[in-house]
Amino acid sequence: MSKNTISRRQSLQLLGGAGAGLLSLSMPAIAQQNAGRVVVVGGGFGGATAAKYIKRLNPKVQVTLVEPLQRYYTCPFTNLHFGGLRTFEQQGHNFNELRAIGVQVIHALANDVDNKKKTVTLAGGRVLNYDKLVLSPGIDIRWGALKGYDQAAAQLAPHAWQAGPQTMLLKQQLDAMPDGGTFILVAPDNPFRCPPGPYERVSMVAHYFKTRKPKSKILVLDAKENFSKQGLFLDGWKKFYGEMIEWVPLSKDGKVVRVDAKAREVETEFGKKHKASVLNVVPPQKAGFIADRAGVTAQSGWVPVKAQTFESSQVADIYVAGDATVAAPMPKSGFCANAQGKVVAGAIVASLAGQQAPKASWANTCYSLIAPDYGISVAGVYEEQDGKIVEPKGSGGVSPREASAEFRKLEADYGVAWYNSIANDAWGTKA
Amino acid sequence: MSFRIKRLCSMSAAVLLLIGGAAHAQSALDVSVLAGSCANCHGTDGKSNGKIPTIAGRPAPTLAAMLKAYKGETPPPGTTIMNRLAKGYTDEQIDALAKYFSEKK
Ligand SMILES: Cc1cc2nc3c(=O)[nH]c(=O)nc-3n(C[C@H](O)[C@H](O)[C@H](O)COP(=O)(O)OP(=O)(O)OC[C@H]3O[C@@H](n4cnc5c(N)ncnc54)[C@H](O)[C@@H]3O)c2cc1C
Ligand code: HEC
Repeated sequence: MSKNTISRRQSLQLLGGAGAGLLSLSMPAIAQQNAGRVVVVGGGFGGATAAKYIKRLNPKVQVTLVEPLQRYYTCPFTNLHFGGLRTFEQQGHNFNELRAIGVQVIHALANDVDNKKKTVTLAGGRVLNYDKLVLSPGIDIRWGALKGYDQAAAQLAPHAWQAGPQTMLLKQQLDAMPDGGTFILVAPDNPFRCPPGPYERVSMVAHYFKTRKPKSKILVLDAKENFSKQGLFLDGWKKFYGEMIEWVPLSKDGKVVRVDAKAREVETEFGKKHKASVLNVVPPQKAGFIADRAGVTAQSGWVPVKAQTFESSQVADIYVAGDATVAAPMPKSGFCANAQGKVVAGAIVASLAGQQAPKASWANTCYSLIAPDYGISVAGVYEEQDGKIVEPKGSGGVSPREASAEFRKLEADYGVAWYNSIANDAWGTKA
Repeated sequence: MSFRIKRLCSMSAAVLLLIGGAAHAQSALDVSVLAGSCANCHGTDGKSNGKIPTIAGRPAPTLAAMLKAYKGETPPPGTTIMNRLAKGYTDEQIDALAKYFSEKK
């Protein structure tokens, strides 16, 4: 980054938000603005990837990443932490590589977006101007959408669906639980972050119980009739955990309608009450709040985008990646957020140069671990056709139902290799 | 207009080059987006530091042949995932991917 940029930024800090608009018109700044100015909100899978790939495609574009966390923890592989197979720290990543390639990283929360003035206001009042804005804020919990489940309830019955203190709380509760206890996981209806996530979590908690607390039970109360990689999970549960895990689908009164976090008790649609020793509620979700402020969220709570570019279909020059978007048939996965970040990067770099957006293409693979050395996966390839996201015929699918122990072991190992590669690709973390 | 030209000049030269046959020109940017989905398993630019093989800097015909084999009726023994993924790409896209990764050193 040139000295000019830094001194301009410093003077912006001195003047505060009000001067930003004026200053950005001043002469010395214009040279740097030619290649364009991009603000990225959120340094998770989608945002970190978009920031990095914009710089890789055109280092002259000014990229500012806004992310409150100094150290970001991925949700992927936190389930393995519950299984006792990884430390929590192994999921942590910093922003040093992004800084090294010239991305300005600001550790702050973005509070507001003015999509007409094209500004982002940070907590504390600082204002950033953008030519193109990328939002990859992930999910917010819909507090209260499930009766009784609010922020206070989450301190007693964690969701652990955003990695951080919630993950540590659930781990502490599992560690403190006596042998013979009951772990209840409440699974939400679609769409939600990481479709196989609840079932991998159950597998890893079962592994922990099997090795440390073998008299314990697991109950999954599900608002759905089916779930991702269902056959493979059910086979694996039986094989490794026998009768320990009971899964209750919607049609068998699996839908939880009320949570009493203090009593660690839940009530289902038809009035049945279940009491847990450890209660893990995966609640209904929506796009991160900054998407609402930017005017890109639809009534559904998620962000509709143009398939080819992932530009908002409601507001020009705002691109959205990751879990916040409506991108079906792509799932809400870190893999897809990364792939979408690259499509956004290509579209933005092309547009800033006055060129046509590149042809979009994405893929996905979600590896899940059922037991140590026993991995399964679901894969997909996606392309844009007539404004829709489609899967080429014959592509994608899940691991074979019949497979050798070697095959499952390979997929367990490839899962780890995937994690190391994507962490390196997004944050530059070396395994 | 002059702004636009400056912006074009400032893009990495590689990104602006056109590759592939004249009939179905895929821009280099198209191919880099296509290849983006491979990087999060095979490593950035196809340089892996783990158990998934490195695909950067290997001869294009070798890479293309392997990808077409994954796409076929009988993928090589030991294949876990590439058969499911390779079926999502046309032969033309496979050739472009093979060329792209072969040029990454
Ligand atoms: C238990 C579990 C297991 C999972 N396992 C896998 C897996 O194995 N493979 C896989 O592919 N996916 C997995 N996922 C899904 C994956 O975590 C998400 O799909 C992914 O994190 C989405 O990326 P994102 O960029 O949309 O959001 P995130 O990664 O959540 O990043 C959003 C970032 O934006 C920041 N932010 C939010 N609002 C603001 C704001 N206003 N201002 C500034 N910053 C803001 C947040 O601090 C956060 O760092 C799993 C999820 C869970 C819960
Ligand atoms: C989900 C992770 C994943 C993704 C995504 C992925 N690969 Fe692979 N790739 C693998 C694995 C694992 C193998 C080993 C073979 C197997 O088990 O399928 C492999 C093998 C290969 C090989 C053979 C290498 C050798 O030396 O035998 C090539 C070539 C290849 N992949 C190319 C690609 C290309 C090109 C893409 C993007 C279109 C891609 N792969 C996407 C995981 C992945």
